[in-house]
Amino acid sequence: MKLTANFHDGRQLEVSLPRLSLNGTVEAEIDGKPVRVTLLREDRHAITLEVDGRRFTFRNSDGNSGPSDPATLFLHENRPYRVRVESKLDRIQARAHASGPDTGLRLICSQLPGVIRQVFVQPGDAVEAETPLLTVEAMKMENEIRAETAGTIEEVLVQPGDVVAARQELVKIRRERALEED
Amino acid sequence: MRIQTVLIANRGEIAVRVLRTVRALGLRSVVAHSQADADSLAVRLADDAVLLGAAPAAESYLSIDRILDAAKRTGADAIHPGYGFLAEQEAFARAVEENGLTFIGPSPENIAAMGNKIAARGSLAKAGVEIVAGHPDPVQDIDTLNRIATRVGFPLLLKAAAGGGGKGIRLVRETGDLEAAFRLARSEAENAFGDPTIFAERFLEGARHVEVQVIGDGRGGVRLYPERDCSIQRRHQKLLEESPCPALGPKQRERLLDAARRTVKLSKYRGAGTIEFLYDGGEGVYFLEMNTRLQVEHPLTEMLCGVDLVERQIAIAEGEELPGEDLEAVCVRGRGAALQFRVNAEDPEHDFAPCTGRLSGVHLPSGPGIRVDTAAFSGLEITPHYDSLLAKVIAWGTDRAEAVRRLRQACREISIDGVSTTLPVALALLDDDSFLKGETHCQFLESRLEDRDFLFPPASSELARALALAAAQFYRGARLHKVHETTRSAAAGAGAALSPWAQLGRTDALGGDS
Repeated sequence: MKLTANFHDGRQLEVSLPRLSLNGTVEAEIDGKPVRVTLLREDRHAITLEVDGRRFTFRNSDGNSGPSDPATLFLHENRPYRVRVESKLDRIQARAHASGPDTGLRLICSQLPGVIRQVFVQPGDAVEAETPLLTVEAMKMENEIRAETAGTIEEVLVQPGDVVAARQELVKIRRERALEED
Repeated sequence: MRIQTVLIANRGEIAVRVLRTVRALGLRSVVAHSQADADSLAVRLADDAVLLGAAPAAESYLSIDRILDAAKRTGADAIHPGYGFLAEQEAFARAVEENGLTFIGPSPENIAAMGNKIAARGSLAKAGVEIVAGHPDPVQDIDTLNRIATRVGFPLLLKAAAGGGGKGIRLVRETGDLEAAFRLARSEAENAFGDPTIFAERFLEGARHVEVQVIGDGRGGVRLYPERDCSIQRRHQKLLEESPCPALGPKQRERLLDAARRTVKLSKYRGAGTIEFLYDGGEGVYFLEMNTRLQVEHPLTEMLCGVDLVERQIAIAEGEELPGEDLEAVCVRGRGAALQFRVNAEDPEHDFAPCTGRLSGVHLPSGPGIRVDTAAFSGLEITPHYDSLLAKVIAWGTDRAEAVRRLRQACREISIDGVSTTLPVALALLDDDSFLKGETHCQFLESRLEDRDFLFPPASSELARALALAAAQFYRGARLHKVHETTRSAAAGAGAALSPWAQLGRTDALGGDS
């Protein structure tokens, strides 16, 4: 299978990796050059590969906060590296989704788990971009959540005292008009 | 009076830390805990444990009545408050003593004198200790604040009068931000300390945070320990600390230690405490605040001086006296250098948002000069109710360079899965030229973090190739997992818990196909 590995600094590597089984060695190809790969260990915590005679152990780590990222986070001795792997088919599908419809309704979600402390808006309120909507307290820090666009508050889904999870929906805003950006 | 049973009214790593000394001294340890901590390491290691109440701190660790009741029920004759929670609450210290128990900490008067940051600044200024420029009274409203800002100047720091530990602090750089900052600072102060009172202080840019560990016997006797540098901070929360301060000259050190000595003598301070200063890198050493408790970074001092500060706290609580008058007599010598990194359950990639989850793959480092203070173990559930500290990794060396090398190895070796951690920050710092030269200050980390390459360095070509291969293998496993998810029955429940790598492995073993 031919894949492209994308790094955050823009670097790309074309990877051709035959099926790997535990303790098996294969001849892979990276950017057309042959690479000898042995799979030494593979479990829910980590993967250990020997690549051209050198050992590497990577731990897969995806934090449970923030929007989901198509690039996977790998830790090498606790240094983080994000790598997004895609096949040709993925690239075709991605282009199809990019031209989807815009509903005009915007969901404001919590970035982190915590407790709702103050709610400043109610349905019907007009808001501008950056208008404070509510505050979430987590780890004893109070964080202000602000509107991302101008619009009208459609629905407020939480109230003070509610415990919220990461990515939980908090407020629905109906945008004034469909915008071409996102 | 000899203490026999100590009730530890705290949780996490500090509860474990305190009970270790209590038990090493041959005393009985009781841990008072919340429902969420019922299966914690501290509870497992203590001689006895008492459930205080539900997870929220207000119903457990902040409930004076429940803690005193727990002490009575378990026959404790002393209470150790740890840090945070009620450790610096005058009402708690008073209630403990009024109930005939020994408070392993300062007197209620000490706490009152230093706990109100406005009053502390005032009394120390009177004692001739130089303080950071600011306004001597609480800020009543936004109009007053605007006037103060005009006089004291920007940047300005809004701080909770009843606060401490870097909480309830807001930096304001311009007039336009004052109103929102004032509002948030008051709200945070109210929630964290039960008192919304704010005061304003000039923000000294480029200064180092330097603090002195002290022990007082309550009669003016004092012991001073080598200073700690805690300049590596993010939003006023310390992340990496070291001792001694690599940039302090002998004259400044003497002024620092003498200011600390006078503070303890004047206030007849009892117990362990830390006096924090800002050092401007030249001649200026300014009093910031005094924390009337044991601090998170106390292990640095213990490693440097071979002292057990919890043992010192207990000895003082039992009435030990500290003779000696001048600086020479009361300064404790340290040897070598030490650094500590705080591993927090926070996602450095997403604004250090706190993470929750079940820990797995926990492996703690060790070796010469390495100490790890933690309550973490595989299977532990991290909840949003408390702070995000998972572990403290401390490294000591005969000099700073050796301590740095050891800390680097320990931070590469440690593993904690299941939540994001701040470990990438440690490795980035331990690789940074300025940090390695000891040239840092309080804004250093935040300015470094503005550059994504700091936390996410480009991989070497060799590492990039290995990453690409691991990612390809991972990708294949994840795709297979999706395909099989829709065709397998609920019996694949165990399979769903496997990582895509392991999923691929299973499929291969079962003769599957990609």
